[in-house]
Amino acid sequence: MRDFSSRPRRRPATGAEKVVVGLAGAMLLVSAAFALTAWREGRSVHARVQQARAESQAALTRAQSFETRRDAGQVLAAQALLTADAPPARVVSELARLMPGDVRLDDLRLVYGSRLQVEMRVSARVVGSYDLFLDRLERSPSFTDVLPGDENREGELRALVRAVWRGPGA
Amino acid sequence: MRARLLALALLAAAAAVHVLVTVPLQRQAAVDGDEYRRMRDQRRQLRSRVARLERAESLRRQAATVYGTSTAEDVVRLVRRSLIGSLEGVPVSKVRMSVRPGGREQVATSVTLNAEGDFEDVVRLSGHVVRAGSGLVLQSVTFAQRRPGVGLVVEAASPAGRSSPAGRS
Repeated sequence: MRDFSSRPRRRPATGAEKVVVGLAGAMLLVSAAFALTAWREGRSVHARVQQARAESQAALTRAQSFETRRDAGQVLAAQALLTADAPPARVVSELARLMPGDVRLDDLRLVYGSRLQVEMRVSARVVGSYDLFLDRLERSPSFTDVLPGDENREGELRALVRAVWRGPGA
Repeated sequence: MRARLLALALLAAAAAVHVLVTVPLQRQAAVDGDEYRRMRDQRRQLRSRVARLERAESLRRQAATVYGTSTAEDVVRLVRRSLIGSLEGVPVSKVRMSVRPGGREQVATSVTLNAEGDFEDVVRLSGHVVRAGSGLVLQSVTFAQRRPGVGLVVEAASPAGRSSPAGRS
């Protein structure tokens, strides 16, 4: 049968063109696969965020149920925890570890409340030793809110220092 | 020609899927990932705070149950006996002690103990007085220089038996 139409005859695709079409199709499939993976990953991360948020909220509610109590029981609970975790021997030993040989602890007062307040009078023959002690105290992970008080630097140094215990029981 | 157009269309579709779908999804996943890490850290901190508060409440209740069923007079007697037990064998002098009923809300007894001795001895005594099972929690401890030795003042309290609502779970 002969073709008498005037339209030019469509050239069949060459082998190279078929390969290009195949590659383009493969790229579309890969792109779709990436999109699917990204969607699944996004869904999974979103679910984890929701779960973490719900658990955080539950923990916050639980913490607030303790902390909003402003009664004596709450203070006693904090004191019981500090008594167990930060007994005087432990605080004294930690202070002794920070003290250069020249620094002496004259008086020490530990006040167990919602936090453990430490108030001490120290003396040192060499002023630099006291400065070193203060520096160590400020850097120590066991203490926070270090507040140097009255200080007599004439002759033998005598000084008052306040701090707050920050150990595991704080 | 048709094959080339088809290839171009497929490439354009692949690019469109990547730019319009994959990239925004990945960006959102990255944002959610950051949010997740933040929430995870917050959750860890809150759980640690709750654990600490629960432990505190548990220790308070443990202390409260030591003399839980005793009358106020019995508690005073038992706490006094416990204090005397703590002093046995400890080389301290000038011992004065006071055990008083109540003192403030949720407190069964208030205790004051004064003693003098070597530094190591008074430090050890200050912890021994409130050892586990003594039913006492520390309020304050003072070590003051004396000549010779060190003076010790321990203020402690025994919690009353009533448990608090937040502690019940």
